[in-house]
Amino acid sequence: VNRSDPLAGWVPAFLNRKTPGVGVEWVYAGERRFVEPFFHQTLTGLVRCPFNLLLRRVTPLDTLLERAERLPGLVPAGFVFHVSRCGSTLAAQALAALPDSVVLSEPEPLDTLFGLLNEVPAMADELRLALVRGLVAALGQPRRPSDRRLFIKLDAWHIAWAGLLLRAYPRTPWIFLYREPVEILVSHRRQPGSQLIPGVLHSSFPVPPADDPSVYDPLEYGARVFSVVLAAAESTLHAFPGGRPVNYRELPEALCTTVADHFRLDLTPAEQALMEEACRRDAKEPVRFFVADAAAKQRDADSCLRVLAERWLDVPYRRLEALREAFPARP
Amino acid sequence: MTPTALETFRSRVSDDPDLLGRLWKISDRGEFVAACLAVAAEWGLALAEDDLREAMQSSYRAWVERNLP
Repeated sequence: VNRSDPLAGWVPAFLNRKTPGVGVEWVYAGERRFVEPFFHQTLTGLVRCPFNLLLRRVTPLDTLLERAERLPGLVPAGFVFHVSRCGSTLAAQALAALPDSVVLSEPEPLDTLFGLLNEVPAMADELRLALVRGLVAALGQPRRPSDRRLFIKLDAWHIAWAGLLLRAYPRTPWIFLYREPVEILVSHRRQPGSQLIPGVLHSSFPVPPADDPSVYDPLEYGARVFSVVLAAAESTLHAFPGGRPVNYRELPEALCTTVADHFRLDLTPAEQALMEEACRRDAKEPVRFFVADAAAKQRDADSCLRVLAERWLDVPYRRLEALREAFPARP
Repeated sequence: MTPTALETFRSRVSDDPDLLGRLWKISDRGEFVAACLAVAAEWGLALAEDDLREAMQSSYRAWVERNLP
């Protein structure tokens, strides 16, 4: 932890687009870890504390570039991309169980940055890469002496930005998590995600146009969005060799085996035990135990939902499965 | 209070890791405001309780409305 850094202990809470030139709003986090299931949950607690309400700092976006040159932070040890509702939060929680980890689970500032980059298509590639590295460096500074490994779990639609992120960190291994399409749709029918709302995702994401009939059926719209995510994952896996597809049905065991190997975690028995313990919990409500729900979701799928899954998702799913099966099994 | 007084206060707290650490640990809003006012008075900065509370409210509003157009 660098005490000579004027922003030591501060993290970017959000990028304020209402500030001219875009302001980075920093909150003081000290040595507090991001251990809640989602980044915004930890952040909300930090933002509400009296200190940050009064003394939050604002800097220009350029600060990220200047600071990253001096303090590059932890190089990401693994990225988790996913199609949503497929165990990605469990993966983040298992990684957060490692005492030396910094886990950013769907960090909003990165999403905002991708949106900003999307609005400036003429921006030079070098600057785009530098901004991504600058923000990741700011989010991934070691704030405790024991912070060693940084992991980032992205939002589902960030697979559209995987190329930029993987070019910024070409040596970082990554996984893509997915699951049987019917189960994804059942989950979204029970509790609709933002992916089902037309207009919520960045315009860079190739979703159906506003006049497409599917925009009137949230689940079909979602199915089309997820089909784009799955197809983008397949092409990214072909283009960037550091990736590995992981099916939900391999979880939770694969997190301590296949994924740990892929991320080169070299787990000690104690670390493995901590990850296994985290895997026994419900990732989004850690006070509850994890219950495998694939069979229940299959039972809940009616014929309409199965038609949607077959129409939009089965082909890209099967293509990912073929890729996954081509990976060598763990010895 | 002028914005300069608050900005000066912010800047001086940021430059003083011990004070920063002490203020950050205060979770009660009233206690925090009182501590800030005491420090500001020591520094001769004209900060009033209402001004601090208003600044905190405005800061929280900016957070809540951060994604609104």
